[in-house]
Amino acid sequence: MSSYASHAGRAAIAAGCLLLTACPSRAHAIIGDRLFPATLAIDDPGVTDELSLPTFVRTVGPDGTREHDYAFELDKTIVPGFEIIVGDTYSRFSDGTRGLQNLELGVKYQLYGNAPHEVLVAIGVSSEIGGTGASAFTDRFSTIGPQVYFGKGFGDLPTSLDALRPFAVTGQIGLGIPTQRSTVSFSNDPDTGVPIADAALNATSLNWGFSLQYSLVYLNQSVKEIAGPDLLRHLIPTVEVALVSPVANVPDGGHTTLGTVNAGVFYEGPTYQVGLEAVLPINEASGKHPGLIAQLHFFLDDIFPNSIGRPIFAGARP
Amino acid sequence: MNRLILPAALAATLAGTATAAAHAQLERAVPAVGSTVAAPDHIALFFSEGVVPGFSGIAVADAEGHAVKTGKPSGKGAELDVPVSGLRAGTYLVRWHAVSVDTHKTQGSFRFTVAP
Repeated sequence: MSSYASHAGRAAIAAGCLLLTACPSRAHAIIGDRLFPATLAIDDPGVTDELSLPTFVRTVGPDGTREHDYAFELDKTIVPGFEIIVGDTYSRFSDGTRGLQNLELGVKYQLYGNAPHEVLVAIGVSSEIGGTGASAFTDRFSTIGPQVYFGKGFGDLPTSLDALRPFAVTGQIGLGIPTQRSTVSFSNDPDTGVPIADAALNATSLNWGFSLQYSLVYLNQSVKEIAGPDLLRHLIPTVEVALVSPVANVPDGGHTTLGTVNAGVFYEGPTYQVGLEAVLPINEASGKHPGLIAQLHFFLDDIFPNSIGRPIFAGARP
Repeated sequence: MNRLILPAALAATLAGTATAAAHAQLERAVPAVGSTVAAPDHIALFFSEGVVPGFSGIAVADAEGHAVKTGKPSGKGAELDVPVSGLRAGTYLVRWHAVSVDTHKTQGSFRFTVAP
């Protein structure tokens, strides 16, 4: 017997993991006068040496299951403009299930930069390696897909629009392509005891999202000096939207786009960043209640400029 | 939960190490960014990190884009100064670039206005 219905807990796990599995890299980026923060729900277009440790996520799935995630991610440049990404997440669910998510690996290449117009574009490939996480709640198959990242600051607007110049947008769009079209599981019918096979399609998904930022860092440096506490000069209020839309090999009833809208703020320190966002599910399939995400992020190129903070194979630092 | 101890310890270690030099970001300036002032005789920039004056610079242009003659940049620590003279009423654009003591490069620009 074959069924194309998705597993009951799959949507919950997908929603809970959305923030951490759809977008493996969260590097910061500087182009011209603009600093793009290391956003939490989507990746930014930066390629540099950084470490997110820890990222803490608390979400409530559509079935009410609470999930706590503790994640890390390392971005390591191999040559200037090209990096590899390694990350993983330890998850703990309110039903007692816990363990590691699948390992995340990726590469990213800085494709284009325009300093006067504060534009950055990067491309990459992200993957989740099936079978490397806890079997209770992770896929046994891998997912891989191309990604495009972009960022645009609006500092090049005319001075008559000074109030808008601190704004910036970043975005990411990519695919998540399963290496296995369907997953077959075996069980016994609870009434008859007859063995049954259940096949669930593994959909290809479009991972997409964007952020809208208003940089008080930029405002203070380029438009109008901010009076008041020094803290204000380091903040970047941000709204992020991260979505996953099934686009191919979609099971019946599985066409719903999952995602969250995150509203929060980043504090830009000299060698680190602190990010804090509220996580708001866009629909019931994405989660039942608002969640929270917090991250401590280290700029390794600043902390260790002459060792692990620079590309392995020489070249001038950007 | 024990498997979380090592990452936590690493994060704490990095946090303790995170006082190293970094990209020099502009914290404040004299004249202040976006301010209207009497004609200044110098422009001073104060950064988040120490900068190397020999590899850093400040350029000033008037509203028409004509370069304003400035003196040689100087400074110490996180401050970078450049003398200017004869600024008439109008808006001026300051473009700066800085090399921090660990050789990271940053740049920026801002405007100020000299009151009539």
